[in-house]
Amino acid sequence: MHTPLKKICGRAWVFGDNIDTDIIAPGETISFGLGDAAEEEHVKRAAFRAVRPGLYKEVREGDVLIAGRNFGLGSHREPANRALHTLGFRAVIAESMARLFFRNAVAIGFHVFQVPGIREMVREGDEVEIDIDAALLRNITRGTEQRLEVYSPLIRRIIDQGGILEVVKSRLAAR
Amino acid sequence: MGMTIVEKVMARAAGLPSVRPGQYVDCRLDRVIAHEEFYRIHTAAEAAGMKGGVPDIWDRERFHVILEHFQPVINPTQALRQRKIREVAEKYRLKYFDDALPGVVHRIAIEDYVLPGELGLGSDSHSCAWGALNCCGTGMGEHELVYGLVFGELWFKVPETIAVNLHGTLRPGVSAKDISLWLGGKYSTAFALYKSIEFRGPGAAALPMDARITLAAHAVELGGKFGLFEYDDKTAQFLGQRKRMRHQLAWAKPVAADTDAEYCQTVDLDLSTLEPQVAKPHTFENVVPVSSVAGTRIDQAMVGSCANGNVDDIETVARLMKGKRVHPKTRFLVQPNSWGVYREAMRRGLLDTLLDAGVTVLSPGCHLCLGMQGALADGDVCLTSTTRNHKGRMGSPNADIYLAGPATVAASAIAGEIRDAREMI
Repeated sequence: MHTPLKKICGRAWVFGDNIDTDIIAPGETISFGLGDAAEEEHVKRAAFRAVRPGLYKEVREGDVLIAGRNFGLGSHREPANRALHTLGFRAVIAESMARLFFRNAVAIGFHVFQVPGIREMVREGDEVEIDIDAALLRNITRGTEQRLEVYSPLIRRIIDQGGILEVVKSRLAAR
Repeated sequence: MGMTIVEKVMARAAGLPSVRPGQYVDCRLDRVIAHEEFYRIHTAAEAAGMKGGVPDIWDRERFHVILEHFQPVINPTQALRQRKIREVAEKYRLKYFDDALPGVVHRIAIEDYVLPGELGLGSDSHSCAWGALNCCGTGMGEHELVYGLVFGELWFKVPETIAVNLHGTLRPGVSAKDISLWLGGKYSTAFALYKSIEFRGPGAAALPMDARITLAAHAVELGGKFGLFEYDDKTAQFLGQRKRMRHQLAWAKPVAADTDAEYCQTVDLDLSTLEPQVAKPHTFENVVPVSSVAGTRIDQAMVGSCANGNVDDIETVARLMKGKRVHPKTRFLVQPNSWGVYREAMRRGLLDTLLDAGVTVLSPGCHLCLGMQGALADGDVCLTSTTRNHKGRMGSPNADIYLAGPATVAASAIAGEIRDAREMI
């Protein structure tokens, strides 16, 4: 049984607008893909290399990625969604987010929020905490708070179950 | 109150009399098409503890797998992955498995599989291209496709719809690509975020099917979930040429928007005033008129992809290349997006014209669009009529990718620098 995340605590990494899936998971990394651990490690090392080489060495589990407009646009690439988790990120908060990236995140049980103006509230390296139940972002470094959009009950259920495949399994079991 | 195309399709698929934007609905799926990501659908299910992969497929008449993306493969890992896909396809007893069918999945889907009025999911982000045929197609990830394949349904949030009303006629040297680029430049890549776009008006009705494919495919570059056209005589004519799956043609239920449908935004564009556009590196919104980048040296020119590997695109290129040569310091690669397109181009003599001009014509595929062929080195400048100019998409992150219509690309390939095609027409 998957234990839902209630709190996410870590440091903020701030990115700009239009961070596309070619930046997050460069195309040549997916053509390596057999969907196994070797691929995951390969994608992790390549992630963000065009804009932040070596990021994989620095992110710690629980860190939060902050981004501008239309985060995750471009090719459908679940390895890009996986890569964020493999790197250690546990949530993305962006001004806005590409539809497919948002859905893919929910589908693997990864927290994603869209907050206009987020980059004025959080600076690189800030200690932040996300309280999922309260739908609240606390900036520990600056002593500020920001409300997050409340998930629809459906999306919350998918994330809390650990992704849509857990939903598939429970629905099959109930047949 | 009236409904837009996508509202009507989702209401029908959800078994409801009507739906409103923002509403969450469970919709029955009419069509699922997967390319090589089919393998990840399988491995995702296995990794989640479903022994043997996806436990069942709801309807084998409505699920199609096409091995087109890595076709032919370019390395042993892709070769291994394809072998595994063949094994899995056999195990799943797929009814429709197109092994080694090079091309672009979306062109193949429009030629052979999808139908007007359907709600369809594809394993590729450009599945919105199916909207050219009045099919509500959109991209979906592997995890969600497992759900879709098992239960034949999935959750959706009914999107708002933007009406893009087109008036007038495009001038020579200007194409549907320029419409998409202009929209990106004016309204950004977040223009239609989580929204459906309907291309409407007399200008849309006058566009041939290939131009509709370009616009529909590029809905996703504008953030869109769907890019839709209404069904008309051009759609009917295109469908009439369908060679495969003719037994399903009677299932088509074309959907038109109600006259009192509500749009969240309306954009009007007079096509006769549109100039050729160019997207500079590295986003689809970094758009300028061709005149402001004219003279920029290019090392490589390309025309292809789901958006621009169509017959009309190749014809546009051939018309400009006739009796000319590609600049000696420029490589020009053209990749049709299906064997159907390839044959038609061959039949019209277009491929001979291209070969005479020194153009490299590739077998159909997606390769150019993501640098699997024609990859770029540090410092390379590429002008391309494919879908995306993201940093690093075609190899080196230190290469510059510019996007433009096929006419601009062809004229520039001749000149060895970015050039307005209207000077050569």
